[in-house]
Amino acid sequence: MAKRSLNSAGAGMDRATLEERIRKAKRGDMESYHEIYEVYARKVLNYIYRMVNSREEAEDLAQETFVTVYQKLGTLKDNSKFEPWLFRIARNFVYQQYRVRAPAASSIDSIDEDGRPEIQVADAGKSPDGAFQSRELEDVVEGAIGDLPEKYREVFVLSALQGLSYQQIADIVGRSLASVKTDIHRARLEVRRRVKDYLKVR
Amino acid sequence: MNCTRYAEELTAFLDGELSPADSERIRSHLSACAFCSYELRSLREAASLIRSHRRELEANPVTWRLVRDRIAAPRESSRLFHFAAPCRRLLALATAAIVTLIALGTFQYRQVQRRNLEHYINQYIQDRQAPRPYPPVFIGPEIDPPNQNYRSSNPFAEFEYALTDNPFRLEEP
Repeated sequence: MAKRSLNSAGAGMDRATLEERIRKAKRGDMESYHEIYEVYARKVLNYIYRMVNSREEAEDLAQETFVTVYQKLGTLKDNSKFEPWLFRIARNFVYQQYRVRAPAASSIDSIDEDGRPEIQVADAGKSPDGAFQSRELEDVVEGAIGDLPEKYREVFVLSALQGLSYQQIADIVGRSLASVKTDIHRARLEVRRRVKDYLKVR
Repeated sequence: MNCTRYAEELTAFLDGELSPADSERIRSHLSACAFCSYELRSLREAASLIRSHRRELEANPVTWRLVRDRIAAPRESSRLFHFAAPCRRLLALATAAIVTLIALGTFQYRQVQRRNLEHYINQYIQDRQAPRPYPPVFIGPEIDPPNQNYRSSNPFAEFEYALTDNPFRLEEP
């Protein structure tokens, strides 16, 4: 099984292209930075959203993250480590402002009539017959992720949802590789326990 | 086989985080262990379910415009002194000149203070070493004339004799 995140930086950009864009962005090329932004905007936004549980705050912090990343791009020595560096900046913003605060509920304008945040579901090809069950399953999945303790949720989101390697996650959260590996395993077991009723193989 | 130990390895195997040698070791274990094989299928299905049924936010197109505008805009601190931007060099020179003047003034003041103090000390030494132009006055005829040299070097000699012969001095009981 091949290791993840070695040759691909994200949707539609390989690692060599990414590093070339980073070099150009360091020289002030805004077009190149826009391309980098397009690759990572959604990933960073969803990582922050999982941590703060508020769309508005996630968008504000994502904005802060990308402004800071551009301003500090010159301090990044190894362009191949851009991804963990980017997530670490995002993480710093999350922890600076929300560490001591309980996760906020989404504001009223981003909640639909059923009380759910108006966000897109990854699986768009659902049959109408299974719509109700699918929505129920989405709630279960969201609950399973959201109820994880912060320490496990963070590594689970970065690993299972954002596709970062264990080593990159260890760099981001500043813990040992062994500790990250254990936490991801525990998080996966806990999430599986929560969705067990919906699995064919239990 | 120690399947408790392999459990954690299964997650890493599923995530493609094991070395080729470790992956091969897990594969051979899976072919022999029904429990771990079942466990892996269960973990894989749960991961697939999470990926397909999670809710994902779409990036707001406005966010990039805000990011771009903030990058292009001067920083807040620069904006505060925006009015002074055209004569920034002149301001820097004026500030440097003021600082230099203050430093020179302070140095000159301390020099004058030092010279004054030295002058005062020298004057004091000279006054003490010079012979007195007038003879000392003694009260009481029975007092022996004091030593001239002693008196000239001790400005309080007269007082010492005068106090000894003070007619208003209280006698001790």
